Amino acid sequence: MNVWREKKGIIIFCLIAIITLIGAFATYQMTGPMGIEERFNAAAGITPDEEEGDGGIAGFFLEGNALLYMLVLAVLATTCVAVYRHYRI
Amino acid sequence: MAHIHLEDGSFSLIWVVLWWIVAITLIAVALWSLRSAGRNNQKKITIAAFITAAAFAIFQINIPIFGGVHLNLTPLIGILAGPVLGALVVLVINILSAAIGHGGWGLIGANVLVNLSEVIIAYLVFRGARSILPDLFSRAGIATFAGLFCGNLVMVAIILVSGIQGVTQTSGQILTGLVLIIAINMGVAIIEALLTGLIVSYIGKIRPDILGENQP
Repeated sequence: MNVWREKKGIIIFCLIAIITLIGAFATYQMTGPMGIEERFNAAAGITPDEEEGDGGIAGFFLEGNALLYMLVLAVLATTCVAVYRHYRI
Repeated sequence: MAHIHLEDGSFSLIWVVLWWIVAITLIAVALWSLRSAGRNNQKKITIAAFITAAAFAIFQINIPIFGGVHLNLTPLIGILAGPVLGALVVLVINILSAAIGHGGWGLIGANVLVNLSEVIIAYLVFRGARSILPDLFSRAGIATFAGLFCGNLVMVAIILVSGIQGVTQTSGQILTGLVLIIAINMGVAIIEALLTGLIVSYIGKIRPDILGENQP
């Protein structure tokens, strides 16, 4: 009983994780490897335009324009520094 | 996590406008609430700026799990910034994402509602379960699961209510496809829950005041 009281948070977390993992693996086995946009197109019955970007690094790639991504990220980082210096936390 | 990955033109104009109006109304309420709070939000504003940058950075990266997904840290936004500032954060992230070509402009309203539901539910579960689950890691993780699951339900509801233009799929077929997307999204939610749990428990150790754990 004490173990449940102390560890109930992590037990519930692990149970949810196991259930969702089983569900995701079962779905993946049914549908095969598809990107998220492909999954949406398949669900909606949309025939997508052919627009394949680069494969990225080890499957990791940026959605959208990489140059704009870096630019926006730089602006956000600068804003963070400015806000931190101004307000402190 | 949940994000409507459809192109502009998928929803009819009336639904695009309607979701935008609902989103703008909620943003207006958030701005009014923020204004009412006066200058007591300086710490939260700084946190919101940092979480905006982090969530924007991670949201654009496709992760090669289950064929390709991405994280968006919305539950972490809810836990750290709260639902009021969180509403503004998800709006900014969705606008910036559309600006760099990730997601359609017309779907920003609908996607803000999806993300906002994740922010609000994660915040409520994290705060509400404080007495039941004192452990920060598991509480933040469970709040993340709850928020992301709710976000997926809102996403499916918005798509089914709006309908998709120019397709021959029935609502039942679309629902079946979307349920499969929920299953995959929830699988990836494990990573997001672990990440959120680790970040929140770390912040809880070094700066518990940021989490507002001492407040009643």
